[in-house]
Amino acid sequence: MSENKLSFEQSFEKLETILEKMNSNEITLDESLNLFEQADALIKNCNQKLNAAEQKIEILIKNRNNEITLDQNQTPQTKPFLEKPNASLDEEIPF
Amino acid sequence: MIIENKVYSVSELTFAIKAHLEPQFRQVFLKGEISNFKRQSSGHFYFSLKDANAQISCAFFKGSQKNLTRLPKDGDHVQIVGEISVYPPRGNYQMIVRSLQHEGVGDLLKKLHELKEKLKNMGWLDSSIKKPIPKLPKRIGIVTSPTGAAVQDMLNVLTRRFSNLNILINPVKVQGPGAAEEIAQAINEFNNYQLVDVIIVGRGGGSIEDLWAFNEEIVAKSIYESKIPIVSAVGHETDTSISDLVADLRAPTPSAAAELITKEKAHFLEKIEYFSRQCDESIIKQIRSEKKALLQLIKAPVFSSSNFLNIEKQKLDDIQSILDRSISNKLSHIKTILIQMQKQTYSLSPKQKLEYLKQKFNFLSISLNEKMISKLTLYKNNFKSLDTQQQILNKSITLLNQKKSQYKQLIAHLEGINPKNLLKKGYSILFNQKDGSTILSTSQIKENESIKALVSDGEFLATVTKIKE
Repeated sequence: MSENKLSFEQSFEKLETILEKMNSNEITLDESLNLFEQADALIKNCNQKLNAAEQKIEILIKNRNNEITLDQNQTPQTKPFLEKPNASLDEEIPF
Repeated sequence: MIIENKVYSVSELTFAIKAHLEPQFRQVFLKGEISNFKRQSSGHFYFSLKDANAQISCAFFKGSQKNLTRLPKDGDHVQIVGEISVYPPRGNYQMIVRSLQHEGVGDLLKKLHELKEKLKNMGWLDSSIKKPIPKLPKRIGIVTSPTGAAVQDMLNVLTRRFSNLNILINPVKVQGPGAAEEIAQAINEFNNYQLVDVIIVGRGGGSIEDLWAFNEEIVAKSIYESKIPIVSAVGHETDTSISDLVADLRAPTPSAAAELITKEKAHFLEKIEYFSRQCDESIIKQIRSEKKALLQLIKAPVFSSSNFLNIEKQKLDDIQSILDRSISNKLSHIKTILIQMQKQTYSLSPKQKLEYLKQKFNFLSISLNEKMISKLTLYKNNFKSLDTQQQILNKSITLLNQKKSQYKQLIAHLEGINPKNLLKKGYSILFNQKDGSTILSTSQIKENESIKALVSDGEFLATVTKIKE
């Protein structure tokens, strides 16, 4: 099985059809078990894709002229964004 | 209106005034400065509108406040639309405010309306050009102020729901001069460097002036031109900005934008969870039903009621029980023998004999001891009584002898000290003739005095002739 090569959407669609078949009551137990295995692999693949990335909260680094700064690869530079900076109240009107 | 000589009650007059006055001022446009502003817990506003020479009480009820862009305060120059109302219980009249606009806001609203019309005509607001929001964005871009509450609200929602999101913030000014240019530039930057899959543009609530940057054409243009889908979330639910209209999706608040962005992911997770459960249930259900069918097959008459197997089976059982019985008989017989042998061995054991002899010996030795002791005691008692008699006798003889010798000594002593015996040895005792006292010293007599001398067989008188000292 090459479930890992499928995109999330493809896996998801395939899962839906497999489940439909499984619930149809028209297949043999062998077929069912085979489908179950496939579905299991697809579910794993989907979960993997959904949970793959790690949390990353960043902010673009800007210079005095409010321009983004580039590294040697011409990619904008970023830094981690701190969760709780001193929130300035001046732009929030409690209304 | 006043009829000559008619006497009114207060109510009559008040209601007459009310009936006369109110129709005259059904819809009044009034401008002035707010003073004595009061916000009641009910949500109604009460204030006075004044100018240099006059003031008028105003009541602004909660139900009319829907389109208010900013909380009024003392000193604000505003324009209101409303009607005059007479309030009989207090006998005063006041303005019932239907709408309130800060001065200058009217111009802004007009501008907003004009731009909206213009963009509409250009086709920028058409729903047909809206791009779909990616269901599972790999990286989420946020264009907002890094210090505002909005960014925190969004991050709170995003991180609360998922722990694996990739978020990139492009920090911009969201109000004041240059804000619109920064916002537009940030959107362009995300596009030029293809940094994210989706962009949230927005800020928290504020007055129409505060939110104005999001109503500028330059922002509208960058949103329109963005290849990356954009969610706009400006201010509160009631605020609709140009940015909201041009964006691919409008969220009522920044928090809601974050919810919308992750909605699909949450949905997918739920769906997959559901699939997984369904899958398990389906296979379990099928296995169960197959199992049931199999059990029914096993119970079929061809298997269950054919006798040939049963007879063999019964034979087998019989043989087994015979075997069982004979083995258990044999076992119990051996066991009995074993127990007997054990008993014999026990009685024959030297230890047992030793024990018996020991007991016998003990018994004998004890009885011997007892006999000896009783005999000894008897002898001892006899002997003791004899001994005592002898002792008493001996003691009394000794005592008697002692007394006897003491008595003899006493007599000898008495003999020795008898003065008459001394007289027999030649001594005599002299007495004074006058007083009969015994003369022991020369000082007791004088020359020529008569003295009496006592000797062993009588006495005689004598005269002292000479005294020598």
